Amino acid sequence: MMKEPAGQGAGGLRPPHELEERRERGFMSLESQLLQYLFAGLTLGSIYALIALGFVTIYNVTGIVNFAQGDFAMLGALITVTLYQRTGLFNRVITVDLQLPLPLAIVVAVILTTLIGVVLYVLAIRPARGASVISLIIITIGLSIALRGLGLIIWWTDPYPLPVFTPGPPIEIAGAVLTRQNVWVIGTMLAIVIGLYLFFEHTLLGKALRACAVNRDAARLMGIKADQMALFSFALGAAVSAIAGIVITPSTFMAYDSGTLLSLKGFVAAIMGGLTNAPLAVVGGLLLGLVEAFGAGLLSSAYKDAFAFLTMFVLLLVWASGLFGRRLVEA
Amino acid sequence: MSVQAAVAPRTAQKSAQVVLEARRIHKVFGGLVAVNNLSFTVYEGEILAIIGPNGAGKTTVFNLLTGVLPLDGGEIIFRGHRLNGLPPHAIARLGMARTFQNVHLFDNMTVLENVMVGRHPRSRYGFLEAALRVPWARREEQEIREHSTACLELVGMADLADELAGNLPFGQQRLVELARALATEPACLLLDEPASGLSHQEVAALDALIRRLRDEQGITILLIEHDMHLVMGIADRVVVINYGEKIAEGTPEEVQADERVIAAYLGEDL
Amino acid sequence: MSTVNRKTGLPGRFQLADWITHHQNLAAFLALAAMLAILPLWVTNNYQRSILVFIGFNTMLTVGLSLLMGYTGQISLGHAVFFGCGAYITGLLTARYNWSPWPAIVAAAVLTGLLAYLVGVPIFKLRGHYLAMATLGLNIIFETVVVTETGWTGGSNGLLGIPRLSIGPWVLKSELSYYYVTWAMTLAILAVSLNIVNSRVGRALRAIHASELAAGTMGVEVDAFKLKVLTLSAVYASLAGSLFAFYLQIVTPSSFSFIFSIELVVMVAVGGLSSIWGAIFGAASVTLLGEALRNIMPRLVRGASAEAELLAFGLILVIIMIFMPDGLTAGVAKRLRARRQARREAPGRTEQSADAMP
Repeated sequence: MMKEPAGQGAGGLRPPHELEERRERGFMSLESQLLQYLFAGLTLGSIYALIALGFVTIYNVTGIVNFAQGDFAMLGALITVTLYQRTGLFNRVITVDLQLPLPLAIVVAVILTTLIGVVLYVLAIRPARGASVISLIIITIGLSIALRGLGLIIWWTDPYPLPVFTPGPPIEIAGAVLTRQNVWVIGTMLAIVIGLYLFFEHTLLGKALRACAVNRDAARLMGIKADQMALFSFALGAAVSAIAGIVITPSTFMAYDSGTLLSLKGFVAAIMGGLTNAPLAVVGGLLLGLVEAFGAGLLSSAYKDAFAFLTMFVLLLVWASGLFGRRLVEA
Repeated sequence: MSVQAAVAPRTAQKSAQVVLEARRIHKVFGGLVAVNNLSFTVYEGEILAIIGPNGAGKTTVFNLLTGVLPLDGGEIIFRGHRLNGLPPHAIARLGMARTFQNVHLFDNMTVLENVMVGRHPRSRYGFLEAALRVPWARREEQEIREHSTACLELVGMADLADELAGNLPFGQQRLVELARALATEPACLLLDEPASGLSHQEVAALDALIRRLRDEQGITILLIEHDMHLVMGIADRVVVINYGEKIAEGTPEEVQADERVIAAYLGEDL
Repeated sequence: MSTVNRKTGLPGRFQLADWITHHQNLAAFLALAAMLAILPLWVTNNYQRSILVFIGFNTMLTVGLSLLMGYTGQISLGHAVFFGCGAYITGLLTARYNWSPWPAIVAAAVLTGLLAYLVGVPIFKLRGHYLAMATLGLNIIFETVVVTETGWTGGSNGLLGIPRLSIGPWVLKSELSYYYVTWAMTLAILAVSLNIVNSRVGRALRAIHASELAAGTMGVEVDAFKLKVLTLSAVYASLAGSLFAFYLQIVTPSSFSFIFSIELVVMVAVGGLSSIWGAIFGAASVTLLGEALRNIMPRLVRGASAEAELLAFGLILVIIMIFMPDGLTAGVAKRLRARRQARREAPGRTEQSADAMP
């Protein structure tokens, strides 16, 4: 049986340290605690919302569910770390010491991750267009595992941090703490959501993408090249995920295996929008973040990941036997 | 074993016996009423054609009859059984078989294997018996193979038995699907646009085949068709549907002359 | 078995070649059994024998997954759950409650089968991506539970103190004995699966894969069959898990890991999604590849060990699914067949055929 280096489970985001610190410091009133969970939930949820947006974008244009979506977040973050600070790669065999300023590192990392997304599309997805659903699923899973493996080889098992974007004291609201990074996360999510909305509604390229999503053949008749659109959707999905990964890393470190859980949870959020409805996917992401934060805080932090999946099961099963019934469930 | 003996002919004569009855069946999709309180009767041994403009809801009717879609209202009585809520496999076992407009063959299997799947409701052995290769299971398997081969011979596809179903041209796939439906030993056979995509020769052969099935096997046939020559030539009675409602019923000649039918088809080729 | 000589039409000797052609599966099965029986004569190293034991476990798992994914078309990324259940239940019953091994194995199989059935009822309402994600989510939930409920499972450290397997009064201690027991069970599972696949049941499963709609209308009880095949594959996995527990005498959460589930998918993909024989090939090749990577990598890259496996398996999945979705053996066989076909279709060019081949 394959053995990953010990100490890693399903990976995922480590709990925000502000939350743990705060708890340790002692007494917090119930209202403050609940408010704290709200902030944590919105922060986590913003990330899930962004990953979900990536899923929806790609699915809408290509009909493919990209299991590797979360791994793009991992790549974006870890590449940023490598560019920004002195990092030992390949189990300390090579040391990269570029020390780029953080904003530059972020931009370069996002570009690189986007390129990786494009390359993966060209090498693995495009040749397989028209394959069966099972084949496509297995291919994107294979990509996800390969990226995870690549991450392991390059960055080993350590969780890596990034510095907070704007250092400074957190904002205290009614006894709960909203760190500046939390604000960055939520703000970034809002910015991207608005940006994507404007892009899809008001730019020609955005409308072309939507046309492909609605009716690929008609779009092709209009001169829109489906393959270019597919490629672009992958690029966009990778970019959005990368940004999500980068912006959350200062709060909860990123490791090679964080991508998998992000993919799964982003997917859960995306299915709240039937994989096609972006606003609902965003709402879904936020809701999922809240479920997880409140579940972990009030019930059991060990099972926090389980809550996400229980939510998923309930959703899927209710919808499978309910109104949206067939449409949602036949993938 | 002769074809006749293998497929167990029944006496073939048109009787006044009702084999299938749809009573005010109703189906709604979202806000759209696809089938609107539709009622019709099918008599044993007849060939009934269901016609109507595109999108009139004809295939939906078939899907309701075979249990693929649940009814939103009304009932279906087949050979004395109430079909409401029954899953498709139970309805198949009761003796209703169908073919599909866009052929749904199992393209991961050979032609013969496809037809052998059709024999499923008339056979019994399961996982345990298969795993242990119990003697009665092996006998049943032999019967399945022989009966399926006979069905293929009936439609004239026996020499392509070992071809992969997905490799066949469309007209031949149609025939294989028909053989597969026949293997279920149906009392009532639902054919969904069997002539579409066929050449003139193939349609003539189809015409002869359908007659044989009714005359020699005593199978009642329900036919959705757009090919009016076929319909007029072969159908005993015709039901005309538009917007999910029955707008006319009668012999082909009566229906052809019906004003409402002409109005519904205005702009369409008759 | 014909006793009539085909050439002369007179009663003649039993023709081996004919028998083999008409009983391909049985012949191959017997050949495999014979080969496995004498293999230990050549493979004498304990480490190598242990690899063979692991190939046996993986084969049991892969055959079941092939029935589920390949034949019935239901994607499962959580098959490791059933393996882990078998291992943990067996371990608990024997280590904590002092059950004898074989009743524990049976109990584990029954319970795991029951679990599969209960999971299947709701989960098979889903298809495609949703089903895949749901199975993956289930796997992760199980992993989390196992790691957290240390009281029952020993947490990350695992369940210790599992006794050796025994058959009656004989306690099995050597690699060789586990090799024979494991492969005996694997062969039994192979036989059962081959029989099922070449039967009305196998056709029904493949029909479900090709078109649930048509299968249902042709009288196939789609939901019931899905549940049965899931339960059967879970029982296979549980049996493998039970033997695994006795073999290692310890069970850790890694036997549940979803990475292992993915590894099983790799084995099925390599062997050919719908091929029982392919399952052996897939299990063997992927297990050997894993071992090779684990042994070679540290020599190539200082300090590295298992990491390359992940990357390798991911790449294998992608490449196989794009170029040989019917698996390695089927893909190669298809190409050979295509060549032979092309040669046959150009009889007038037989002189040039050798050079004219694309």
